[in-house]
Amino acid sequence: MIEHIKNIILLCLVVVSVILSSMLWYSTPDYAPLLDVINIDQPEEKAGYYQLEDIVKPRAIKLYAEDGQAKIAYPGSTVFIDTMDWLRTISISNIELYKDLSAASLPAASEQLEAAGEANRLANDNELNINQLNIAQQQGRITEQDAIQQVSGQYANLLASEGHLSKEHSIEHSIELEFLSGVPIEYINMMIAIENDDLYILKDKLVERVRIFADEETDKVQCLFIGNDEIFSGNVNVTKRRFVELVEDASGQELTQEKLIIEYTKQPIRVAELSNSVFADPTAIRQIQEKDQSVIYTDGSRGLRINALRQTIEFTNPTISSRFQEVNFPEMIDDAIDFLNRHQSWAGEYILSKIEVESKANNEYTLIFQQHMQGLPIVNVNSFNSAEIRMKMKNNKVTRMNRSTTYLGEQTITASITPLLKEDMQAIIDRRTGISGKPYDLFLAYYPLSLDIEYIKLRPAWILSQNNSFVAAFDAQTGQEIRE
Amino acid sequence: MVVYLLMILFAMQLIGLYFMKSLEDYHMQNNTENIHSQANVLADLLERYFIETQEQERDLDTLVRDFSKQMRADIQVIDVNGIVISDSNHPEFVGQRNVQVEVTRALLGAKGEAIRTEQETGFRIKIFATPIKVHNEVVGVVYIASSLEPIYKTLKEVNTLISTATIIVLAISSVLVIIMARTITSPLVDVTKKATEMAKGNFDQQVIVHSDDEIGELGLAFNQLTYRLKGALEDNQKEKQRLEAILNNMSDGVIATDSDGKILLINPTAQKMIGISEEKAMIKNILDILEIEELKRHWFELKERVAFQTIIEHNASLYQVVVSPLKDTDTIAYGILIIMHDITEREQLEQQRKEFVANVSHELRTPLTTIRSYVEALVEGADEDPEIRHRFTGVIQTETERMIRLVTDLLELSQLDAHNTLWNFQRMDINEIIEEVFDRFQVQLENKELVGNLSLAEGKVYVLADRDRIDQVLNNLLSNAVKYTSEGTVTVESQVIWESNKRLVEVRIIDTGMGIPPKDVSRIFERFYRVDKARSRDMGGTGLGLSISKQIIRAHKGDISVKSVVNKGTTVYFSLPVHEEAHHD
Amino acid sequence: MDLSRAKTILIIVFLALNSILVHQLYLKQKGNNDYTALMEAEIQEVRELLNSQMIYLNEEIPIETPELPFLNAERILSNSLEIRSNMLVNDEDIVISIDPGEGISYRWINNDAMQAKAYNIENGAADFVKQYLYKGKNYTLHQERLQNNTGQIVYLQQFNGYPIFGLSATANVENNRVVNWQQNIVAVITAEDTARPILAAATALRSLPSKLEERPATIERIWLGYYNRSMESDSWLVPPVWGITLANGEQFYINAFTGELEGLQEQN
Repeated sequence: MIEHIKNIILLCLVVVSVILSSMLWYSTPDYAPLLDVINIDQPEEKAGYYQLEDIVKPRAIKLYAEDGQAKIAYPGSTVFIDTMDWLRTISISNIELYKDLSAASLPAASEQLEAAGEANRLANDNELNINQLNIAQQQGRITEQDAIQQVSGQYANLLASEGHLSKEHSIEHSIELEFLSGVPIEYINMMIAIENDDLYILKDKLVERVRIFADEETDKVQCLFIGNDEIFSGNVNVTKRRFVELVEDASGQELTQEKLIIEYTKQPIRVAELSNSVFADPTAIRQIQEKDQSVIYTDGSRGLRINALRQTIEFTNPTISSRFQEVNFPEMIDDAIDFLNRHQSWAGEYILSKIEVESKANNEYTLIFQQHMQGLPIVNVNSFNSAEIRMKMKNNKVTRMNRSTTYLGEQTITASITPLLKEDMQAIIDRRTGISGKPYDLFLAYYPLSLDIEYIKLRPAWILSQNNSFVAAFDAQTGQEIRE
Repeated sequence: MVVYLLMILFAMQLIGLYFMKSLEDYHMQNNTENIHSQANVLADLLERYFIETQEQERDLDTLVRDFSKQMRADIQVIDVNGIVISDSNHPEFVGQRNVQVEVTRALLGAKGEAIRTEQETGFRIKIFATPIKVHNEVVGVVYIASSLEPIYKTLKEVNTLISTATIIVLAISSVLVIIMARTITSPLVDVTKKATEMAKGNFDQQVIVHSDDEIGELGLAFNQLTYRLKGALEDNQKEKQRLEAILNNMSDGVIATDSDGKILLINPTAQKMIGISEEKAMIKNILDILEIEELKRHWFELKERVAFQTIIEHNASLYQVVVSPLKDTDTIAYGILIIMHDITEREQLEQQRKEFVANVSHELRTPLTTIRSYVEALVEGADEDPEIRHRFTGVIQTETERMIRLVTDLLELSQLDAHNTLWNFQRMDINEIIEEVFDRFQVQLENKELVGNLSLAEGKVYVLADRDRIDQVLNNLLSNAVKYTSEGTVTVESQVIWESNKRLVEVRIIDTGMGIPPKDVSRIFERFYRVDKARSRDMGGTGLGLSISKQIIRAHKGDISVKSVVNKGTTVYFSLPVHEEAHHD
Repeated sequence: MDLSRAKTILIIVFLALNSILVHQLYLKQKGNNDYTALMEAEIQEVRELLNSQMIYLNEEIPIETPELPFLNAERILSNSLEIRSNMLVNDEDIVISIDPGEGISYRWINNDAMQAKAYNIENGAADFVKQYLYKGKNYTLHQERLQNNTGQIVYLQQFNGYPIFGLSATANVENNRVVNWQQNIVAVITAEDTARPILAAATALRSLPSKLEERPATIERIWLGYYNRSMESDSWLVPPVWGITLANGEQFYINAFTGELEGLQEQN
């Protein structure tokens, strides 16, 4: 009996050993699969790769030549590029406060105005009525602050508007950099070198315009940093002669005035590729459906929320160190650009148009990149919000990105128009009520008109904005207000 | 033999295992080292590409491609964000993202290494990622994917080789083992078979010895054993047969019993003596079949006793019985041996002898007494009277004559007994002798007024005989016939008869006398036997006549017998072989 | 040849062979996933790297690299009734207030009640949460920061034995008694099906020098756990992290899959 059992056991063992040996010899372990490279391409023809210089630009450069006429060079034009190149070579020093536009100096301003004898003209042209303002203030209908603001803004406007400058400053041979919004001095430092010590003076100030001009009296080239409240001046290390030469050269060049009307197909973003790109570990992405029908892609820390209804993408990256870092604009903007570069989020040309301060103490800023077309910014409207990319930065790193889910895709040029001149546009605007009396900004831009779900048309338009917010848009050809 | 095969299987598996493992390890190690070193070299070389500008990209591609050709592997150069900058074999991957875990590790600064399976082809790929560092900062990753399939292919081929080798080795070995094993087992089987035969009793088996080793010696020993055993058994058998023959042919009876008296052995003589067959005896106890008093009485002491003798009577025979215990090594009696010697005849003879001596003494003493008394009388004075003297001496003479006759007869009988008689056999005609004797008795017949007849066979009937003796016989017979016949006839006949293919001549003496009672008929040829003692003596007989006649006839190779009816007559026959004429003495 | 004995020997021999084969097969199936030699070199390298950066280790770098899945966290919105019914100790004197942003806070209704019933941590700090916290059985003791019997005890929700950083409860202790306690968001944690291999602690530590600014620094403890970050959505992913506690109390969390810094500890 035992022998029988032994036989069976032995047989089993032998068979098992043979099986095991053959398994050992012939089988190979299952290895994890090799992951393919993943696609992070966005629509190729639109994806770009930008450097700091490409983004950090003024909205427009105005050149005042001898004849006092302003030439506006938009980004993309050779004049613009050349001028920018030249600007990178100069440096500014000896910055000091030039004018204080705050309340204390208000009377000085108005005095100056009166002294300039421009009061009436200004009043006629711009519906300015300082007296009215004074009365209004005394009557308490407007606050003192408002009055100040209005006047200082107007003053700034006056100073800035073409042809209306106090004689203290000749506008001949000057270059003016126009920005879409007030920008910190560090921003400007990225375009024009400023002495470190002087930077400190302008810290925390926002500059709306930079004007470089040749001072008639001193024969020096000076630079004005024009902000809402203050104006600072600085010296430019270039000879007047050279400067004048440059200006003459630049303004001598032709600037095309025609602008195109372009039709585009709406190109949706490739969400998958984008998510493959933004997440550190694309294989760990999970999708979560939210109640408002948006889909969140997340890997546990970062999140990419796609809202199909509103056609927005929001990317959050809360893994930014909460340790306070010093505000460093170049670094910050670099990081934002790098982010956008990496994730091929450009689709067209962009300029950093605004830097919003969320919290200086915590180093929280919002950078807004505006898409440009032919040098003109494309405005953000409800039907088409893809012109803007908002990047929230914290501690100089990207912590959030908001943009649209659509790009501009293929383009078909339909027509070209000659836009109205600014003065003409201003005249039309002036005739409207409700706008006068307050400082406003008027600039040429592209206005997106949504034709249908698939197509969008960009029309050149004059945009009226006050306090950096959009008020109205007027067709650049006809002057009609565009209503949608 | 299965054991050997299993051992081989075990060995081959072990060998195969370690060999395969070593081979695999060696190849993989080799491959890994190669990849490592090449990757490190490439990483070092690529450092400068990351420091300088993008114009180097084309050179980067060439470098990568060169390395890839040399290593026969796919090489990718990856930047800090995981994007492929250059790919040696798949330029379409440039700009895409490499998401292997190993790349993540390398981007953190560690080396990553793994084996993965390619999804479409199922090939096994070894991937290795090493960081490219510039000033201790990771700027990129070198990623190498090398197919292991060539190695696996080689290994598989070797695997197959070893497997086939194993199977072939196993097959050949099993055949060899079976053959070899036979050399051990077949002789053993042979020996076993022959031993079995031997156990059955067949001793003629011989094992064929093939080899010189232990198996051979076993065979030789076996053969010797067979031979000796055979001899021993034969001897045993012979001994047994001898013993049996002795026992069976002994004139004495032998009975062996066990210690309880149960009969183990009883030889045919004993069976006859006791009158019981073997089967019946074997189940009986000795005490049942033989009445041995001592046995009955001293049975339990038998063990102590030595042999004893006794005489018993059984079935009207007398036996001398020797009873001895069968002792095993002088201590334990395991049985009894009984030897029965038939002494009936001896006793009888003893009895006869005693009788004979008594008779002779008596026969001699009677005349002697007579003589003595007459002599005494003479001595005492009877010799004075001449007539008494004459009468007395006459009696003395007669008596003396009787005694002399008696002694002469005795002497003759003794001589005949001892076969010391000198015979004078001659060829003669029996009828002639008969006639002669007959004539001699005519006077006696006439005296007693008896009629004498003679009826002889025709012609001459030759026999080989001693004339005197035959004469004596006839004389005796006729004398008796005349003596005991008071009236009637006395006839003498001779006849040739055939008996048992032999020619015999029968001679009959027939008288019509008083006859012999039946109880005495068989005994009349005994010595000194007288039917009527008184009468014979008176007639002067010694009582030995017929005995002598019987001896003489016997010596002539004949027979003598008697028939008688009381008061009617007696016929005495005797026969002699006829002497054929063809024989010449 | 004694066949029986031969068979016994053969059985033993083949048993041994089979165990060797099984062992080899097991090793093979495990594959080359554990590159222990590579790992040791790695740990050595990392240690040197950290030392060169003046970051010192008070604890050995863990070498295990298990496979861990992502966790799914789903927000539980409960009202105080539910909370009360779920707590082991249901005492009316405990005031429960729920703040959607902050979490749940518990306190005694008045000082007398507190003096009478406050839990004494000498009875076991770990048991406190099991009785006095909503879904307290999921919580384990993480840190005790007490000086003179006063201070804070931090508990963490845990899953499968791993603490989840970010889902914590804090008990404020005075004189060994818990005066009030808070619990930030409570979530139902489930694990995903697929587990993936994590980076070794050594690899994760490589990125530490770039994230850490103070020098010298000493690493007190290295944990393996999960990191929860509040998201606006109702359910979110919780990745595994290596939690590094420095001697000065700071905590870093490095994603165990990608090696990126998940965040510094925001509280404490």
